Amino acid sequence: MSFHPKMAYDATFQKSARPLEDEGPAFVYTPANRARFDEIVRRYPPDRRRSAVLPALYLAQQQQGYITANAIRHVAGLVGITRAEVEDVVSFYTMFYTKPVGTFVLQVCRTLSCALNGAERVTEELSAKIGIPPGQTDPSGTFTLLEVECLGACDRAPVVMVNDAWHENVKPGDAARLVDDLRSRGEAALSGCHHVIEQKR
Amino acid sequence: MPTLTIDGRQIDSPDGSTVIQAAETLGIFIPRYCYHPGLSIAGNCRICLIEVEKNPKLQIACNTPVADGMVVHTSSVKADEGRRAVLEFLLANHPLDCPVCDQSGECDLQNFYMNFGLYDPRFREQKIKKKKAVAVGPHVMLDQERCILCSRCVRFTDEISKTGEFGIFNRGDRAEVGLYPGQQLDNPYSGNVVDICPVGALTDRDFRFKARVWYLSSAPTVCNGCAQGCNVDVHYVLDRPHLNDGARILRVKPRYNADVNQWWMCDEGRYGFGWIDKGRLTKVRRQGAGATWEQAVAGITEELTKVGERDPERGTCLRLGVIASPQLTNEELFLIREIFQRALGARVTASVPMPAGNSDNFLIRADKNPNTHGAALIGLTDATAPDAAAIVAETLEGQLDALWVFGYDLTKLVADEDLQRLSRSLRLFVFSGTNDNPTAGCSHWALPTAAYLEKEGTFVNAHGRVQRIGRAFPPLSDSREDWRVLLEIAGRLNLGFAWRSPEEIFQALARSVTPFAGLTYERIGLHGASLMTDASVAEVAVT
Repeated sequence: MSFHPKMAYDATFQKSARPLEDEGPAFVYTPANRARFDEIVRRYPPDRRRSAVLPALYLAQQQQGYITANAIRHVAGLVGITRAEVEDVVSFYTMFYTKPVGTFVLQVCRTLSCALNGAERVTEELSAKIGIPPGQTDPSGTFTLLEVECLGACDRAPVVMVNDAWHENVKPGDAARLVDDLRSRGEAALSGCHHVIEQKR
Repeated sequence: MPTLTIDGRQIDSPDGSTVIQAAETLGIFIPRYCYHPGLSIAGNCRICLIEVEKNPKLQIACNTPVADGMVVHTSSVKADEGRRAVLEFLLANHPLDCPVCDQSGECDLQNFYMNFGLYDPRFREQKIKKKKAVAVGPHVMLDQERCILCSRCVRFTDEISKTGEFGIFNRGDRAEVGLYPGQQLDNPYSGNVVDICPVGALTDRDFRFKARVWYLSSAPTVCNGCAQGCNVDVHYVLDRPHLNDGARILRVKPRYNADVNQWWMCDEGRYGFGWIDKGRLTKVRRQGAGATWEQAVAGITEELTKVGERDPERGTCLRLGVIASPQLTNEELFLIREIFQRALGARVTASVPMPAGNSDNFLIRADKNPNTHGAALIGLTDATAPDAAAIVAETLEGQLDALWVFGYDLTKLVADEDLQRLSRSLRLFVFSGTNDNPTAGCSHWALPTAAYLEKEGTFVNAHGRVQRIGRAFPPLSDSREDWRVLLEIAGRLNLGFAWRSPEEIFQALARSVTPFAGLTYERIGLHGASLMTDASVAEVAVT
C-alpha cells in the first residue's frame, strides 16, 4: 500500500525479469530423496541448518534435472530460509541449471587461468562442432554447452567439466574428438581426475 | 580488555569489539559501505582497509577483532592506496549518473572518492548494463547499476524487518540486488533500506527528484505517529517554494537513539507528514467568517468568565467541558489542567476514542497518539476523568454550556445532525486544531494552531521517556501554538501565571507533577530522559 496520494503503486510496479518466471511442474522430493535430505540436515548444527541449502539443491537437481521456482519454494520451506536466499545460491553457482539440460553438460571454465590458456578457443571449437552457441542445448538433447566460473583445476587449464568429470589441459584441437567420443561411447568417454579420485575412494 | 594503538593513540577496547568500533570511540572515522552498526558484519566492500603493524596485508577494520598490543594506522599511505584501488573496482560498473541521482550530495561513493579517489580514472571498458528505476515496492526505487553490492539492504530485510525480500542474484560483475520474482518490498519498515543504502541504488519514491539534498534544512524532533516516539530528523525547505508545490517538509529520517528506535523508523511515520502542509486551518474563523486572534481571545475569555456563574434563566451554573488531546504536549496539557480543570472547574479529558491501529513488537504501537502517557501523568485520562464520549453525551443532554475541543473530530463520535444541534445549543463552542474538519466547521470559534513541528514541547512515550520536540519552523500562516493561546487566555482571566515559554511551563510542571520532578529541558536534551522506574510505569494505567 502507498501512503502517498500521488504515488500510484501497482500500475508502475515492474516485475523482475530473471529466469524462473515459469514456475515449472509441481515439485516435492521423492520419499527416497526426502529421507536423504533429512539425513543431510542432521549433519548440520540446528542453528546452521541454512547451510544445507547446497546439498538440498543438488538433490532437487538430481531428481528433476534442473531447478524450477517450485523446487526453490520446496527447498526454501524445508531448509527454513526465504526463496530469495535460495535463488541467491542458485543464481550464483553455475552448476545449478534453471533450464532442462542435455545428457552431457559441457562446462568450459572461463576464469583467469583457463582464459589465459585459450579456453575461449575451446568454447568456439565445441560450439562449432555441436552447432549451438554457449548457453544452449542441441535439438537432440545430447549436449548442453556452458561457460562457467572457476572449476578449481587452474593447474591443468584449460579445463572442461563434462557432467561430473574434469577433462584437463583441453586444447582447441581436442574439442571435436571429445564430442565424437561422447557421442560414440557415452558415459565411458568421461575421464579426468575427478573420476580417478572418486574411484580411489 | 585489550589495549591497542590507533593512529598513535592508545585505547582499551572490550574483548570481541572490532577495530572500526575502537576507532570510532576515539573519534576516528574509518570509511565504510557494508559495515553498519545495526547489522551483522559482511566484510565485503573492503573500503575500511587499515594497516596493522606486523601484518603483511591490509586488514578490514570492520571485521578485525581488537588484540592486545595491536598497532593500527587508519590513514597511512598504504591504507589510502588500498582504498583507492577498492574505489576503482567499485566504480568499474558504476554509471556515474550523479547529476540525475537523488543520493548526490549525501552519497558515500562521492564522499570517499573525494578523499581517496583516483582522480584520473583508467577504466576504458564497456560497463555492464543493468536495470534502472525499478519500483521494488510502494516506497523504494531500485537502480541496479548504481549498486555496489554492499548487502546492507539484504541484511536489513533478513535481520531487522525479518521479511527477507532482498537477495543478491547472479555472480561476478553480473551480480545484482533484487527481489525474488513476483515479490515486492512491502513491509512496514521498507523505507529504512533507503537510509542505509550508502549509494543511490535505493532511493525514496516519495522524495525522488523533489529537491537536491543540499537545499534541505534539518531539525531534530520526535515522530508523533504513535506512542513509541521514534527520534527523527525532519528535512524541510522554507526559501524555495517552487520545490515540492510549496510544501515545507520534504522527508523524515530516523535519528539514532539507542533507547527508542536505534537507527530505524516505520514507513507510516516516515511518510505520514502530509497533514503538516496540507489541509491546514490558516485563519481564525468566527461562525465561519474571518476574525482576528484579538477578537477570538477577547470573545472566548468573555464567555469563559461566566463559567461557574448562575444562569438566571435556568437557575443552574454554567458549565464547561474540554476535550483535550493526547496529541498535545505535556506543557499544553498542564496548562489545560491548570486553567480549565483547576481554575474554571471544567470537565476535562484527554482520553479520546481512537481505533487501535496496527502494531508489532518492534517500533509500531497500536496507540497512535504520541503523548497518551503524558496526559495520564498530568491526570487528564485517569479513571475518575470522563472520556470524550461522556463529555459529548453530557453536552447533548444540556448539562454543559460551553465546549472546547482540541483537534479531535467529533463526527467520529456523533452524527452530523447531533453535531449541528450541539453547536446551536452551546453558548460557547471552540475548536482549536491544526487541520480543518467538520467539527471546526460547526464550531463558534475555529482557532488555527501549530503542528507539533512548529512548537516547542515534550511528549512522554509508551516507555515513560520524556522527549523534546524541537521547533523546526514557525507556525503556518496565522496559526499559533496552543500553549501561546492558552497563556493568553490565562492572562485575560487573571490567573496570575508568570510563564512565558514552554520551558518555563515545563519547570512548573516538573514542580507540580511528581514523575517529572528534577527534569529540565537541558537534562532531557536531544535523546530524552526516563521519567521513572519500570515499576512505577506499571502503576500508571495507560489506555
